[in-house]
Parts: sequence; structure tokens; C-alpha cells
Amino acid sequence: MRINRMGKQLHIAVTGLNNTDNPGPGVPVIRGIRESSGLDVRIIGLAYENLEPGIYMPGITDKTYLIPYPSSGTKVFIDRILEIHEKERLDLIIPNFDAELFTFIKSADLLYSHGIRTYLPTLEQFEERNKINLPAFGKKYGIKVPDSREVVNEKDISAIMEEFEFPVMVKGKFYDAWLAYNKEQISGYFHKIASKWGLPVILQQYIRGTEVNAVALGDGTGRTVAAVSMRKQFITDKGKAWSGITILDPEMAEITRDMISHTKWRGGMELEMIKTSSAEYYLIEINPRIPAWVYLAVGAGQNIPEALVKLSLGMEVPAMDTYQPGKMFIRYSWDLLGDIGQFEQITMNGEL
Amino acid sequence: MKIKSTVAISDNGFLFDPTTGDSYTTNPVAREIIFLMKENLQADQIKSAILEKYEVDELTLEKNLIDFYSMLHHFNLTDAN
Repeated sequence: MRINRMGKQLHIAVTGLNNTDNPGPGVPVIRGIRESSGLDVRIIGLAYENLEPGIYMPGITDKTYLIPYPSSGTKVFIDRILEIHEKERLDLIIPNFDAELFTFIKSADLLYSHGIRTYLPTLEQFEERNKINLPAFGKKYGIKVPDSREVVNEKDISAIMEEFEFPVMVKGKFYDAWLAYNKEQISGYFHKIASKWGLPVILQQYIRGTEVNAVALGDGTGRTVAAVSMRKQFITDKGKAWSGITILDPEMAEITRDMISHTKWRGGMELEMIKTSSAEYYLIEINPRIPAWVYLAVGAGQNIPEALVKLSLGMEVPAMDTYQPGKMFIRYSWDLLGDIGQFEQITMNGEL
Repeated sequence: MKIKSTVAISDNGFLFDPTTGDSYTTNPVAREIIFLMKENLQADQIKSAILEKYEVDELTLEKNLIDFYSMLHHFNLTDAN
């Protein structure tokens, strides 16, 4: 039996169609949903830029709309979503960008009053795991985290660096992370990140080791519905995984389950950790959404996007306890041909 | 010394540790030793099996086996006990 809503297809809107060398999770999330044999869906893409590849990729979205950046203001943003809702009768929105999550979480009740569901963490959960609050988060939940400091003024860098050793990570509040070996490099990255993502910029102790990540899904009661661990095998100059492999790391799995159990996390999440040579685990980041490599989890046996859709509909989803280790993904670039007419349509009409 | 039960080795000598995602290639003799370890043979039994099959003096084999076992240990492919 195919799941729909009262005999009608489920209309699911998805952001993050930027399948570039710094990919958003939209396309893999859609692939997961489309591969579900149980869901009868129409996929509505929500794009910020008219050249996001997911707009043009065959078989990904049924229809795509341009939306304004959340920085245009919540009203402008939500009005556009509701305008699309009038045309498409949206049942669910799956946001996939860190920078838009605050707006979606704040507007969840309003969207729900219009019949649009979301499946997101609470504002408290979202704020608590913020990079800026990570040291307090680690202390509260007994997880090792690298020491870190906020920088709002370049002049503070020297004083902060008296407490740190080089190299040090320089991070933006949403995205971007650079490894700096001296104060000049820190200053350069500080300005680069601040101009793109705003302040504060975060200086974080550099932990040597192997980066291991987990994608997980919590149902808000403390139950882990799904969790898959992955080791990056090839990393781009932007620090993104170009290739990765699923691993069965019992400690990583336990940390993930404990985290969801203690925080009662609701929705998708990604834990980024460093495993040192002495097998210590340091939490370096929690992304409050499904990551771009989620299709690896689907291939390994846990269809996390499908489970998220079902949970959002209030369905019972049994916990997925196993997956296949040694499943790999390798990204590749592919020249997709389009037509100027498509570009014209999305640019002039805001939809394709 | 025991090889971790989770470590998988294929017939062509490709070794994969699913707990870390690390993979290794082994030569035919290393592959054979790992298969023997997987069958829970003790170090002296493995030594005898190799001595019987290959033309090698005991001292050289022992030295090479010690090197090989330390390498397995270094790559965290063995159980602690």
C-alpha cells in the first residue's frame, strides 16, 4: 500500500538543491524519498539561486520554485512559502540549510496552522548545539569537545591565542572552517568568514585524528530511530566529503544514541567527531539537519528521509538497528545540459 | 595473538576493518597467515604450517612473523588479549 493523504499524493517541499562541490542535502533527501516503495509523493523543490543543479536534474523535483533568502526577513520568506502552498498544497517541508532552520523552527506553528508540517528540533535544541555553545553542550552531556572561543573583534585574537596552540581552526557560525598556522592567517580567515557569515567567528582547538561522522534521526522522545556512521575517505579543499564509507564503530554509535536520548532530539542530525590515535572521541560539530551524504545511509539500509517523512505524518516508525558496513559513496561531476528556456522560466517566473 | 573477529579478508587478500573503514592489501603469504589466525591457530602452529609449506629457515620466519604481528597490532587489527 502506498502512503498518501486521504487518497491524494503527499506534496513534500525540499530545499538544498545546490548539488555543487559544497553540496546541499536536498537532492540525496529526495532520492531517499523517491526510493521509498511506500510513499506516493510529489516533490516540490525550493531553490535560492536559479543555477542550483537540482532544479534541472531529471527525476529529482516535479516542480521547483525560487524562494528569497531568510535574510530578506521572516515575513517575506514565509509569505513566499504560503504563496507556493496555495498552488501546491504542501503537506511537509524538509529544510536542509543551517541558515534557514531558525526561520523554519520559529514559523513551525504558523506553517502547521496552514496544514504544512515540519519535523525539526526545538529552538532550545537548535540553540544548545550551536557552535558557539558547544563547550557548554559538551560539559552538560559529558562529551569531549575541543576548547573554543568566540571572536567578534580582530583585536581579541592575540589575547585568545595566548590560551591556544597552533594550528587552530577558524570557523563561521554556520559554515566554513579553515586551519590557521599563525596569527596572520587567523586574521585573514576572520575577515573572510565574517564578511560571508557574520559574527561571531569561532576559534577552535585543532584535534588531530580521523574524522568520523554519524547521521541520525530522533523522534523527540529520546529514541534513536536511525543512525549510520561514516568515515570520510576523500575530502575536498572545502572540507567536504567527496568519498566516504560506512563503518560499524560501537563507541560512535553509543555516543550518537546517548546524545539523542539526553537531548530528546527531534529530526535529522549529523554528528561530526574526531577520533584520535588513542581512540578518544571529540565532538567538533552538530549539524541540526540531514547531511548531504545521507544517500549513503539509504544505500546501507537505513532510509532516513523516508523515516522522517513518516514520523512527520505521525506514523509509527520502528528503530532501524542495523546497516551494511563497507558501503561507499564517491561523488562525481557531470555536465548536465539544459536549455535557455528553462533558465528563462525559473528566472522570470520564479518556477520551473 | 588473535585477529579481530570483525576484520574481513577476501580470497584475493583484500582486508577490511569495518570499525574504522580502513582497508589493506596483503601478499599471498600474509593472506595465508591471516586465514590461519582466523581459524584460531596459535602462533607456533602458524609457524609450523608456514615452515612446512615454504623453503625458509626458522629464524628468518620467526623474525618476519614478529614483524608482521607487530604491524597487525600497530594497525589495531588484533584483539587486546
